[in-house]
Amino acid sequence: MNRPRILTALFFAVLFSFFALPAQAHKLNVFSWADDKEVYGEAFFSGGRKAKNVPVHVRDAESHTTLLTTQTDEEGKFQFVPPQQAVQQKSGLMITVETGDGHRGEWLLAADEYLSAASDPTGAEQPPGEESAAKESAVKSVDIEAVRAIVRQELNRELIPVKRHLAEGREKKAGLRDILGGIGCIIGLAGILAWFQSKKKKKTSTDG
Amino acid sequence: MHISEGILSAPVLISGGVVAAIGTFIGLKKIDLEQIMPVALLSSAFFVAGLVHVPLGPGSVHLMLIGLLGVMLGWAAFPAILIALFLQTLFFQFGGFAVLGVNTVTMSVPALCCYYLTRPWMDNRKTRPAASFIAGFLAILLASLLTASALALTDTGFTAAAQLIIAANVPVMIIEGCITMFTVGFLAKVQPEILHLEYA
Repeated sequence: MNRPRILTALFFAVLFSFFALPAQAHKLNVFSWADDKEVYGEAFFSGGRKAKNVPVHVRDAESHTTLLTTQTDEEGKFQFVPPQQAVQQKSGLMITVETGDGHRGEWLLAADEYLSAASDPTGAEQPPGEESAAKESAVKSVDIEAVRAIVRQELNRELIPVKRHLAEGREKKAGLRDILGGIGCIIGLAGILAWFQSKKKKKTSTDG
Repeated sequence: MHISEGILSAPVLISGGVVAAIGTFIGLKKIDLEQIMPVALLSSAFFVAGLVHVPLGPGSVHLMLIGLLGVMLGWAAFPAILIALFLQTLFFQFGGFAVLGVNTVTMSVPALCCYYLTRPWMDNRKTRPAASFIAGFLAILLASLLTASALALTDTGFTAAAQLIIAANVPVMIIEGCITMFTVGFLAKVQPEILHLEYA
């Protein structure tokens, strides 16, 4: 190998290693959770950059009809009251964020996630096992319901950071393995192409 | 500058796919045994460059090296970019498989334009730095405009999308201009045949 070739190879090696340093996937992520009144959410790019002032579309997860449209604030956060239609039909909410320059992210908020939080204070739904207990003593059951509601609300609030952490963890981070795997694929393809071309060359040289 | 899945309408996706297929076919025809390794090298460079975020300006942007690919590969930029985009979708969840064709076109066509526009000034030692800077800069500008048109053909207004994308990519244009200028300058010195230069 002559000197210029080695220099060129070195140059590209340095260029590559400089590139590989701040490796981050480039994706718009949406994360959403609910408490007893409202649905909250955030939109951010991988690496933590917030998606500011971009439209948020809330659709019915099954019928795909748009229920409401809102916008993220300066910190990439948004919040809205769950639409009546969705609450009545107990349908999930598909929350879509589009930045207008071609990025799009979505998050499915399952019906029970915001309905259980929303129906807390009234205690509309009870697990069947508790019905007998409720019959035993009215006073006692009221107390239990009140405690249950408070515990659920508190737990929900406490779990928000954990849920957010889980959502962030769900995002696949591009690692060295992905980078080397991709480069390996490209080199492999180049090898295949080179093999085909050398075969063709041989054939034409024997023909001619 | 990857457009995500689920934004564009079917006619835009299909026509993007057709143009990308034609470009890739012509590109593959033009690759000879000598050129395979430079194509693979630059395809890898494009693949990895997508991970380099530029933390400047209002948007979330990354390097693409489109100008460099165009200047060095010409038509072969089509297959190089297609393969790199495919692998970026596979490994990093950039864009999507359905929009692969459109994304290939929005980045390969600018590469090709830069190849033809700046080629006449590449052979001359004096005009080479300026020509390669312009290639790097212009490629991103053209890619921004093409991405905006793809979005405009579906629903978003062209001016709104173009403003957003160009504003976000101004730092990338300048950085890529510099990278292209230095890379071309360096290669012209040590290995001019990789650039197909007549006078080194």
